[in-house]
Amino acid sequence: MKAPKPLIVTNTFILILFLMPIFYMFWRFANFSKNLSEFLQSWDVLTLFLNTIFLFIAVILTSLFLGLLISILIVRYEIPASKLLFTLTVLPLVIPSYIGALTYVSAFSPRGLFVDIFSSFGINEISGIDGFIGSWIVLTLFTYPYVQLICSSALRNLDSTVEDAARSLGVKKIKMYSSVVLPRLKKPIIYSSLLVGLYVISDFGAVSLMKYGTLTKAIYSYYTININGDPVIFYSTLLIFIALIISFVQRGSELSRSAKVSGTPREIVKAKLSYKNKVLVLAFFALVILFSLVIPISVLSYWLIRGISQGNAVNNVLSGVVGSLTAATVTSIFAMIIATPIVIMISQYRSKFGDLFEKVTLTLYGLPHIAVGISMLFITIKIVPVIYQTFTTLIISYLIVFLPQAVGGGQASMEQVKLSYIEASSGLGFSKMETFIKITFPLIYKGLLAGAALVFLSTMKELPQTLLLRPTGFSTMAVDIWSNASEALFTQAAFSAFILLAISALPTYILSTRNLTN
Amino acid sequence: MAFENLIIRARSVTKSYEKETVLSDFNLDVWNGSIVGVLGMSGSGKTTALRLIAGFEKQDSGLIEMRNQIISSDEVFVPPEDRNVGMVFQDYALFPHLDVEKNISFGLSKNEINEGRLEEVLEMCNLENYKNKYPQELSGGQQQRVALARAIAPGPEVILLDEPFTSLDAHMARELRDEVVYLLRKTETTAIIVTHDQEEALSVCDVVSVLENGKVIQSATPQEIYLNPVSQTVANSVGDPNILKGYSVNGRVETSLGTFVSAYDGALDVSIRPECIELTLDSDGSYLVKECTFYGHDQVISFQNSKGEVFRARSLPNTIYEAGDRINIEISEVTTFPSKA
Repeated sequence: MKAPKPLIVTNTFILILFLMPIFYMFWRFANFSKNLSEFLQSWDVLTLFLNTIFLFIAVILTSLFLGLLISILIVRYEIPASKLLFTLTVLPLVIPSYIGALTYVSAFSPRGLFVDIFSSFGINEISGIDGFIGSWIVLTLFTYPYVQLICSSALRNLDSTVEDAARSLGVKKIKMYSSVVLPRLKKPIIYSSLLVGLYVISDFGAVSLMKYGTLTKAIYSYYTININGDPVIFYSTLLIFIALIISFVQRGSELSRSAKVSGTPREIVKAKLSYKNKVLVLAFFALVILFSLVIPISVLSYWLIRGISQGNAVNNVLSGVVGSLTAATVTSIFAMIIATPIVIMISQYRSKFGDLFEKVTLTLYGLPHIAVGISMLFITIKIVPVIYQTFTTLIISYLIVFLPQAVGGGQASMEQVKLSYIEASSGLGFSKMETFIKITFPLIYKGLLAGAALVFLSTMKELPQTLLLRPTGFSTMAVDIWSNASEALFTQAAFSAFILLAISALPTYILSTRNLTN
Repeated sequence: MAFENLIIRARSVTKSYEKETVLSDFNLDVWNGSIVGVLGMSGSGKTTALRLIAGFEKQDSGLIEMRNQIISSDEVFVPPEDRNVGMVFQDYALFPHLDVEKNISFGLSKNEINEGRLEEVLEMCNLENYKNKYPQELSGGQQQRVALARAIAPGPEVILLDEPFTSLDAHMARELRDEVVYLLRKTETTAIIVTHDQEEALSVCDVVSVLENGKVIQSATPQEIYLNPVSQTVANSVGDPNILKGYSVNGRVETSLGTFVSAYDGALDVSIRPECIELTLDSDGSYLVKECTFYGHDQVISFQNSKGEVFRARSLPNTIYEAGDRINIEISEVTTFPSKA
């Protein structure tokens, strides 16, 4: 069926507008003021690039290792309290990387909390966790749950009789995993690694607190020196370019929603572990949970209590809380409104045009926030100075990067609106508008709400765009946490961090597990 | 029996999942070179029995031996990879990421491949033309052949086939069944076929073991099972007999279809297979034809007596029976069992 003209026009307008930051950045890059080769020589491009790529590879490898190991253990082995262990190992996902980094920096800096506590044992200084190692650890601990969620649900859908077949053909357990399990998980493995990879290259909060020089950190540093400088343009374009490649490859490995199994899948028989192995496995889980959950939460609690006992009051963090909630509310409402016509277009009018819209929307996903923020800054300064450093600009910038989440939520529920429902309705004499109100909307509003909720949470936790674009005097919890932590004001940072987690942890957990295991 | 050497011996095997007992006191003997059918309704524990023999799961108690070596008991458990047992799964369980050639050579050593074992198996199973295809590109029948080839390739002691033909359409199933049996016979491979299909079990196997509620209730040649079932359940599972209630006094039992001789007295079930009832059209006959279903090679006629009880007879296709015809009957053979109640 052909999409109605107004729908096409509206959507085209929205998407062109939303793609502006990319176009603008590329245009600026094309008009690079200096000779490019000269630039490449004079600035430390290679180091920053390699730093980013090394971190990218390292975090993907360790996240894959942890995520896959946990998935296999929980799905294929009999482990006591496996449901609880699964939840606890997924939970770190709710901790934003900058909060995680803050806890590790404050606890394991050379004279940090760790030294404080153990000074009575004669420890006066440790070498400290920061730089590459620090970023690696922190990003791994808070991204492996993505791998775990995606791969464990894929593993659950894998027909385990294939594994029995391999073993009856004389293959040992370890080789069985490498020869018939992992190859069949190829798609989820690639998909989740690249998801983690996108997270890593776009991350600003953790690497900046860990003082590790990646592209995002460089963009911010150069920006504070000179907004319009060549390095800012160059690195932002490079970052967008890398992100586009990654998300393009990732889409190639898009998981087929129904990993169909032939025949009647038998209830998976979980393998039993010997007593010794059970202890080993539980020790492994304990270690993972210790580092990804217990340490961050304890450190945060410590700073919170210390802060309150020193007289830190809610008043100091209140403006950030209000700012976050306001920005998140406004963004999620607009996201829902803008997503609706796109969702209808994509799922109701399956056509070349609809496909194109879907691709474009997905492209927005995974755009590094800091680069979008920089581009928005340029656009507002050069083209529309009226909205420079206004709340409007900030919201538009949020909408650009979070629109895919709103569309994704709507799309999932839209898939149940069959075209025949619409036809049946019009056959019964209802107009298109009446049909939309009576049939389509009631079926999709829950999905749209779920999408909007996700946008709400993401906006509340967003850091780099907020740092770049916020109006003077406006603050959010994320900004408060990051700037206090940068100045080692950990008790202040912990206060906001605690409130942020208290508000966002549970809904983030529910929505993420739902989205990633579908 | 002509077969020598016991390959598989299962004794008093029990297995439960949570509170549900799947196998209780399961016994099975499998002789070298024979094809043994395990026949049972769904849920009777057939597949579980195979999985225990293959070593994918461990029984709760009891003993499984292979060539007089214990492979599973309270103390011993040989893992599946060391059992030398081939398995053909109901859903084939082919490796979706490997082509036919790689699937079949999966269980082969480098040496075996160099010695041409792969080509041999490909040829044997008529798969040369498909060797570079992936499982999802094959039809059900071809997938089945690959599954069998993969299981046969390493030359296992015994091949276990789990409902091997149920996922195929009837015609394909029959064709493939002949092919598989031919292959098993030619290679002198010992096999256990688990099935719920009586025709399959009776036509293919040397020995049929009828499984009910996790127990083998009769294990014998197909003829023996069919002609002399030890219980009503066995009779039901290999045929479609008429069951009549009766009470035997002095070796004679009276039923609605006549008086028969019985070996013992008391409450009895009299089982009469449909083909043992011969019909003659007779306008004064004491029975009334209710319905006739024509199958080509034969036909099944339902008829009722004056009391309205309905029975079934099977006859050759050359006489036409129509509802309302009156008939007389003659019964050539009956079997009696002590009544269950």
